[in-house]
Amino acid sequence: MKPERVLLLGWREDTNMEATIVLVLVFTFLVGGMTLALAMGYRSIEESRSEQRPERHVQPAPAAYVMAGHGFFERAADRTPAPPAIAFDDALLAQLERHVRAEQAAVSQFVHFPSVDSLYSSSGTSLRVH
Amino acid sequence: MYEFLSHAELFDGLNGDGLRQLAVIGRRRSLAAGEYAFLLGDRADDLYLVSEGQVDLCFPMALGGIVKDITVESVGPGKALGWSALVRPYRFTLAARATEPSEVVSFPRPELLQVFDAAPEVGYRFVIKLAEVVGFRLLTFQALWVRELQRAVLAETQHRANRG
Repeated sequence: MKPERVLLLGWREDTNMEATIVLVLVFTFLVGGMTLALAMGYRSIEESRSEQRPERHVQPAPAAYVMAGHGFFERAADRTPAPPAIAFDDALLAQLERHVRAEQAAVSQFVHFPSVDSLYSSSGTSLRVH
Repeated sequence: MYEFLSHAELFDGLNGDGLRQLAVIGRRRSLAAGEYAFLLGDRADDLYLVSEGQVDLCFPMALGGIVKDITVESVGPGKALGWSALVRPYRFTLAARATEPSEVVSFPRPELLQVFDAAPEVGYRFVIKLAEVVGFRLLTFQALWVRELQRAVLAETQHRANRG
């Protein structure tokens, strides 16, 4: 009697296992199909949107133009994107480097002993182009 | 290498053991006159120390469609270059150009950090010195900017007075 019950229970367990596996496979197939359908739908919507959207062209700004941004005291009349009138020749380059070095020397005291006096100590140079 | 590092500004105050570990990871690199060690915007993966010659730190100035390098600081033996290698976003903010045949010692960031991890007291002393170098640079540029702003204000005031 006992061995038969065990066999009967074993048969039932096997059937249940198979049914579960089939159910899981069917469920996985359904979920996978739905996900694929959603992804395809999203892609087609995005494609149609991008076709409707006007194209935007970005022009890389040349460095000189970027640096000619509006200054604090700049007047409206000056706000034209015209290139600078001064030529970048060797003389200007040398003047600029002399100015930076003199200014560096002037502020070195401020770096070691910060004070209003040392901040505004004269370097004796100017960048003004006449 | 050990002897050179003991006199370098960034490694000032380090003991023999720390210096020996740093000497192991340092790599010498020669630069011809006019050669760049790095350019503004380059990935900063190595910290440099100048061991021989002179290297100029420059920023690019664009005028009339031409870009020229303007020297803002000349760095000699024992001085550091390229601390951006240790500060995010790890990009150089100036260019470094040898003005004469020079030699630099480079320290790759990962290896430098390994040394600091293994010997925190070395990292601590190094970071203190690094903060000093970065702070000096910040103060210098702060002062330069304020002075130029003051000049702009004076020029504008003069301009308005002449008009009125």
